[in-house]
Amino acid sequence: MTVFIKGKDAFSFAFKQFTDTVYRIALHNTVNFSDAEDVTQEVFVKLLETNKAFRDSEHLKAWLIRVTINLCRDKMKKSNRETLVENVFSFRSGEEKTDIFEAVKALPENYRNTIYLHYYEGYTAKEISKILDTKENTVLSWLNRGREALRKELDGGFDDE
Amino acid sequence: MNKKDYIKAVDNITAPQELVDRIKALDPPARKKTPVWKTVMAVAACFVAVIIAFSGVLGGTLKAESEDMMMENVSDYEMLSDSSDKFTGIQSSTNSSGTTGGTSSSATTNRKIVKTATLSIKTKNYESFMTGIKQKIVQYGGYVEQSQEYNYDNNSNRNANMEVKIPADKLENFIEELASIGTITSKTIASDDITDSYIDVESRIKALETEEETLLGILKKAESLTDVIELQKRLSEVRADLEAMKAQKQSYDGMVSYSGVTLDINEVERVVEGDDTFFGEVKEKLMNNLYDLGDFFRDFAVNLIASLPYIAIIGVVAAIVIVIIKKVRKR
Repeated sequence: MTVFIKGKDAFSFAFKQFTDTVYRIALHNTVNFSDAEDVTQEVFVKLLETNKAFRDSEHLKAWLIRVTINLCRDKMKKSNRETLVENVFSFRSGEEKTDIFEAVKALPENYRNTIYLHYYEGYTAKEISKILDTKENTVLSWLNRGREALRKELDGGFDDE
Repeated sequence: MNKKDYIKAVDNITAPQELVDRIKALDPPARKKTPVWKTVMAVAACFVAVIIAFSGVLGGTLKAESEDMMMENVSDYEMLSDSSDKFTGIQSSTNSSGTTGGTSSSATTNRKIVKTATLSIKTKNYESFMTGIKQKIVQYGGYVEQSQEYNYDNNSNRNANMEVKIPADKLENFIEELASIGTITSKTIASDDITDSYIDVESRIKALETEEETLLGILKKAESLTDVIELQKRLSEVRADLEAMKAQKQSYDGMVSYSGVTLDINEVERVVEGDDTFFGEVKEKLMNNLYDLGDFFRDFAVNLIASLPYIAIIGVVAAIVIVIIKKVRKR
């Protein structure tokens, strides 16, 4: 029998392991810090409310990623914003302003999430296709086009090396 | 610029402490204790201890005995998968736990016991069993928390896992009902005494309410703005704690009034009734073999009928060949 984690256990596990992950994805998909923080909190509220049982930590993580992206989408729809990068956007004190992050954020939603999931979280195209509920080939083309766009945008491109 | 810079940039992003605290506050038990009510807690604990000690003295031996029995009953484990008379086994265990429950409940009315049951059930008529069980759950005022059914392929037996909540006072009856529609192969009933945690939560609620009142009193007298801000900050913390504790108490109440039942339901082609005498065993083995033999013939017949089209073609071809051979020989 498979051991499931759910409810409070899932919450405290996710809180320890994935708070940063959720926050990072939220920052990728919202306009400013306060939106990202709100979304992060909502994700955890959802986790407490759901009665879903998770097979393992990967299952839980994939669920968190999906919920985060969906909540960000809802938030963006509500505020009716078209682009994520605004002039007012700047990093908080103590952190360098990082152009590459903004360049990734300027990409269309699917490209930017694929880039994040692949390059930062280390998911394969197949795994990303499951998380984002699409075909593997679609993910591969998003990845290529995202990389292409970044190469144009940035000096030295966005290559593996 | 390359992906390393990107990874570095993302690495720098961490959830701000203020957000982490906010999320942490969502989860009631994770909250840290404050020194103020720690002292109150200690006093409350002493108070409770005195009360328990007192009632122990007054209750005398009867009380002590029933408490011992409670301890034994904490993990009442029954493994009935072997062939020794299953039904009497179940019957006697329900009886004994029934009587134990009776005496202890009269002596310890305020104890908070969380009961859980884990059952493995075999059934021949999977479908009627599943509909039956769903009816019983509704009938007993329970509900299904989670349910999974597996059917790997059409040939294998189906099985299902269910997590069900049944009102605690009807748990025994519910299990008896299940025994009447299916065959219980293993049964575990566990009781967990959460009285201490429950009292703990109750006293925390009381302590927090007292602190809330005190803070409100001070707030009325406060003069400087910084004091007011500081007091209100503390007040909102206390109120958040209070809400969390109340939610915890509610969840305990739910756990006590509803017992969790985990069901592992397996479909079998036939349920073997236990009979451990010599002839019983011979009979069982013989029946098994006969059954296998029957199975063999059944499969054979199925395959035979299924391959009729081929047999027909082969037959026609053979007939033609024989006719030709006969004609050739005649010449």
